[in-house]
Amino acid sequence: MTVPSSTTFWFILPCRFTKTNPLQPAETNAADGSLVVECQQLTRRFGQFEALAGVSLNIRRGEFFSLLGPSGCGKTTLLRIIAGLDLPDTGELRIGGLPALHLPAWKRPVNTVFQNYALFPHLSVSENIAFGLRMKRLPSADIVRRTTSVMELTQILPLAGRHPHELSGGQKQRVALARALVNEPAVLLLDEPMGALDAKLRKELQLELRQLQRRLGITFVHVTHDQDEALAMSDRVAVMNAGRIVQLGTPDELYDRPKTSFVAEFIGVCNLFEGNLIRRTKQLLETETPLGRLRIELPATTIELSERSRLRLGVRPERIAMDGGQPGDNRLLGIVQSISSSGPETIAQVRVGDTLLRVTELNMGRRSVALHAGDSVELTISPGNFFLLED
Amino acid sequence: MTSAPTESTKVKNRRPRQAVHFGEPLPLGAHLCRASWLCGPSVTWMMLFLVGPLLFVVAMSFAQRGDDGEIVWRFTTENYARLFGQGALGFDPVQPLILARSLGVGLLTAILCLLAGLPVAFFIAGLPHRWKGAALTLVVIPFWTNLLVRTYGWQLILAPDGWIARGLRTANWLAADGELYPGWPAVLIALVCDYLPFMILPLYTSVEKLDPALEEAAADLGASPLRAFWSVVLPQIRPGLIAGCVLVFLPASGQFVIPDLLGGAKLALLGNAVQQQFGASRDWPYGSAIAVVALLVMGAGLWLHTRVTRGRREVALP
Amino acid sequence: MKTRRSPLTGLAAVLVFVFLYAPLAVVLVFSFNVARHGTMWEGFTVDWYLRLLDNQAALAAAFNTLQLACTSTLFATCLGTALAYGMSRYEFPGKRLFHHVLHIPVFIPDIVLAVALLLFFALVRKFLAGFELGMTTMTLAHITLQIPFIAIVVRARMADCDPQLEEAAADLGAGPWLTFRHVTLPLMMPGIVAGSLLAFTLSLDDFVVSFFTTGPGATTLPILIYSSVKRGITPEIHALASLILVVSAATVVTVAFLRGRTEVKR
Repeated sequence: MTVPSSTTFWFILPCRFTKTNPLQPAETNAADGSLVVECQQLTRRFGQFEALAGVSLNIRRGEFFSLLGPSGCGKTTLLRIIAGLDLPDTGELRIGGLPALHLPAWKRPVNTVFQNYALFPHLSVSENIAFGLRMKRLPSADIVRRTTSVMELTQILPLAGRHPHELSGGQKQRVALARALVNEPAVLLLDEPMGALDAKLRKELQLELRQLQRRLGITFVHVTHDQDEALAMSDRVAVMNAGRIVQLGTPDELYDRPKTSFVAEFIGVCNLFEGNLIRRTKQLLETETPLGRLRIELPATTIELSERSRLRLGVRPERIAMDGGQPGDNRLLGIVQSISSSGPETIAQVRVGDTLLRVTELNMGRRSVALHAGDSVELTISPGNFFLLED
Repeated sequence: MTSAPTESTKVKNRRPRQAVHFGEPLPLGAHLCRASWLCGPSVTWMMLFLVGPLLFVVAMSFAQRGDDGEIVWRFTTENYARLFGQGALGFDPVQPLILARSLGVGLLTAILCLLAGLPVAFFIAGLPHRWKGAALTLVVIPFWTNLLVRTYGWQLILAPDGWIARGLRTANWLAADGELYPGWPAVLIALVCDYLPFMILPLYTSVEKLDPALEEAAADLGASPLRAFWSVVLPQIRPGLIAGCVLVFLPASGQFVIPDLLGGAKLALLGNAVQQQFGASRDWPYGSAIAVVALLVMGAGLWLHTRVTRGRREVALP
Repeated sequence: MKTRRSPLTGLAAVLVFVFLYAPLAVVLVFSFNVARHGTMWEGFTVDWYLRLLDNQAALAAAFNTLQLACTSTLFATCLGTALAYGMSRYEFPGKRLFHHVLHIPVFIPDIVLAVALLLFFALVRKFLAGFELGMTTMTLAHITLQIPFIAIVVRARMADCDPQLEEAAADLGAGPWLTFRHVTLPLMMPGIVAGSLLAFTLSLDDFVVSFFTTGPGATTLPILIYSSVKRGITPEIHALASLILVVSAATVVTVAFLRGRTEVKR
C-alpha cells in the first residue's frame, strides 16, 4: 500500500520488502522478531480423518510461503486455522509473536483470498473492497482513498461499479485480492487462488502476484496443489502429505534435493531406483545399481545420512544428457524405446538394463541426427546430479 | 514475547472446547442456546397450534358423542368401525363409500393431471432458457389465486346454460337433460385444474435433467417413439412422476371446497364428511376419526414422497 | 432438451394453459358484464366495481381480510425467518423431526388443520373465559399456516448462498452482529420478501381454515364469496373476486420477478 496505514493494528508493517536469506536454516529461534506466523504441533481431527497430525511451522515476515500438497493433505485446514476459521485440537499458534488461538477471525491481522473468492454478491466491487475498512469504522474519506489506491494497484479501477456476477474469473480473483490487501494484513492467506482459472491466465497472474508481493512486502501464505505454481512464486515451500509437513525448503532445494520419494515424485518428474553402497570417499559414493556402477557426489549437508548400504536414488530426466556430456560423468548405454516431442523439449524413454529411464532434452536445434525408437544411445549423468532419498 | 513451554500448555488447557462456526468461534454448548432463542418461539408455536391440536383430534376420535352432540370422554373404537362400514344394522356401505370415493377421486385426478402435465413439462423444458422462468411462473399463478374464485369460475363455465354444456348437447355427447355441473365431470375438471401445478413442477424438474442423447440412442437402435418414451424416458422421469402423483393425490382426496360447490350433495368426499360432522351433524368424535384417517393417508403418501425424493433437492413449492 | 419440441407437445401445452386460466378469465370477464343474471355477454361496464364501494358488508370483509393478512404475515415473517436462520445454522435435538413437522401444513388437507384448530380453540374456550372465536383465532390459525411456508422459502434461499461468505466477512473484520447485519440479512432478504409475499397471498386466499376458526362478526372476503356462491352469485361478487385475483397474481409475479433477479446474480 502506498498510503500510510491509519488502522490501529498492534503490529507494524514493514515499509519495504526485506527478503530473508532463503538458505538460512529453517529452525530459527522462536523469539526472533522476524517470524510472523509460528505454529507448534498443531493437530486437527475431523471424526476419523486426521487433517493435521502435528504441524510445526515458522513463516518469516515478508516471505512468499507456499503450502503444497495433494488434496486432503491438510494444507487448507492449516490455512483456515491461521485465519481463525477453524481451531486446532491441540497445539499453539502465534501471529506476530503473540498467541492467536484465543482471537476470533475478525480480530486477527490476517486476511484471506478464498478459493471461490467468496465475493459478496449483493455488493459492488468497490463496496466489496471497502467492506473490511467499513467494519473497522474508518472515516469514509480514508476508505475511499485506500479503496481507490488498491484498485489501481490491482488494475480493477474500471470495474468499481460492477457486481460480482458481472465479472470474469480473473477479475473476481483480482477483486478478492484487493478486498484482502486493502486491510494491510500482517499475513495474506491465499487458498488456491488460481484454482478456477485457465492455464494461460494462471501464468500471467502468478507473475503479477509475485511482483505485487515483493512491492508490498506483505507476507503471503499460499495454498496450492500445483507444484509449478508453488515453485514459480515462492520463497519457501512446505510440502505436505497426510497431515504432516514432509519437507520444507526453497524451491531449488525441493527440486534438487527431495528428501523422500513422495516429494521427488510430487515435484516434477524423476527416475527413482535403488542401489547398494560399495565404497565411500568423503562426499563421493560408489554404488551398484540396476543401471550399473554409478558414482554419486553428495553435498556436504547430507553426508551423515548415508551410513547405510541400501540407498534410494533419483535423478531428474533433464539432468541426464544424451549428447556426450563432460569427462568424469557416469556413462550408460541404453536403447531408445520411444521418443516424442512436446515442442520445447524432447522426451525419450531409454532402456538401460531392465530399467526404463525418462530423459528430456531441450530442443536447441543442435542435434544433427534425429533419434528414433530402437537406436542405441549413450547417456551421461554428472555425479552431482543424483539425489539421495531418506525413505 | 517468549513463553516457556509450560506457560503455553497452560494457555492451551485454559481454552474452552469450541469450534468455529461460520467464522464465529462458539463453545460447543452455544449451539443449543442460539437455536433455542431463534427457533424456540416457532417450535413452541407449531407444537401448540399444530401438533397439539392434531394430537387432540386423534384423542377425540376415540371419544363418544353424547345425545346432544356433547363429547363424552369414554374410550371407544366405534367411530373407526363406523367409518369402515359397521353400522347399527350390520354392514352399511355409505361411510366406507366416502372413503373409497375420496381415494378414487384422488387417484383419478392424479392420472388426469399426469396426462395433462406431461406435455407441459416437456414443452417448458424445451423452451429457451430465458422463457422457462416465465412459463413456470405462468403455471404457478393460478395456484396462488383464490381457490373459491377458481371453483365458481368453473361453475360459470360449466353452467347448464353455458356454451360448453349447450355445445355438448348439440353434438349429442350429453343427454338433453344431462348436466356437467353439479356432478362428477365438474368436480374432476376443477380438481385437475387446481392441482395441475403440483404435477407440472416436479415433472419439469425431472424432464429438465433428462439426457436427450439416451433417447436419440434408442431411436438409433430402432425403437419407435412410443417405445423409446416407455422404456427410456419414463424410467428417467419416474422420481418426478411419483412425486407429482403424490402431491396431487394427497390434497385432492381431502378437498372440501370443490366437491362442496361443484359436486352437489351426493358427491361427498372425506373433506365434506368432516365438515358435515363438525357442522350440521355435530358429531365431533366421528368427524375426528375421519380426519385421522385423512391424516394417515397423507402420512403414507408423504412417506412415499420422501422415499422417492430422497437425496434430491426437495421439489420446491412455487 | 431441444430435441423434443414437436408441434403437438406445444399445442397440448397451450391447451393446458388455456384450461388453467379459463376459470380466472371467466370471472374477470363477467365482472365487466352488464348482465345481472345468466351467462350471456350484454355489454361492458365497470358499474359493479363502483357498487362495491357502497356495499358495507364487502367493505367490512375487505378490511378484515387485509387486517388479518397483514397481522398474520408480520408475525409469521418474524417467526419463520428466525426459524429458518436458526435451523440452517445451528443444531438442536429433534431438528430432523421438526423439519418433517414443518411440512405437515403444506401437505395436510386444509379441512383437517381447520377442524384441529377448531377443536383446540373450543378446548381453550372452556378454560379461558372471554376467549371468543373471531379475528384473534383466525390470526393465530393463519400464522400457523404461514410459518412453514416462510421458513421453507427462506431456508431454500439460504441453501443457495455460499456459506463461505460469512467466513469471508469474519475474515474481513466483521464480528457476528456486523456479519449478520451486512452479509447474512441482505442475502436472506429476497427469500424473506418472497416468503412473506407468498404467505400474504396464502392468508388472503384462505377460506377453509378461516371458515372454521372464525366467529360471528368476523367475515373475510373468501367467506363472503362462499356464502354468496351458496346463495347465488351477483356480478358484484365477480368484481370483488377479480380484485382478489389481481392482487394475488400481482404478488406472485412480484415474487417470481424478485427470484429471477436474485438468481441471475449468483
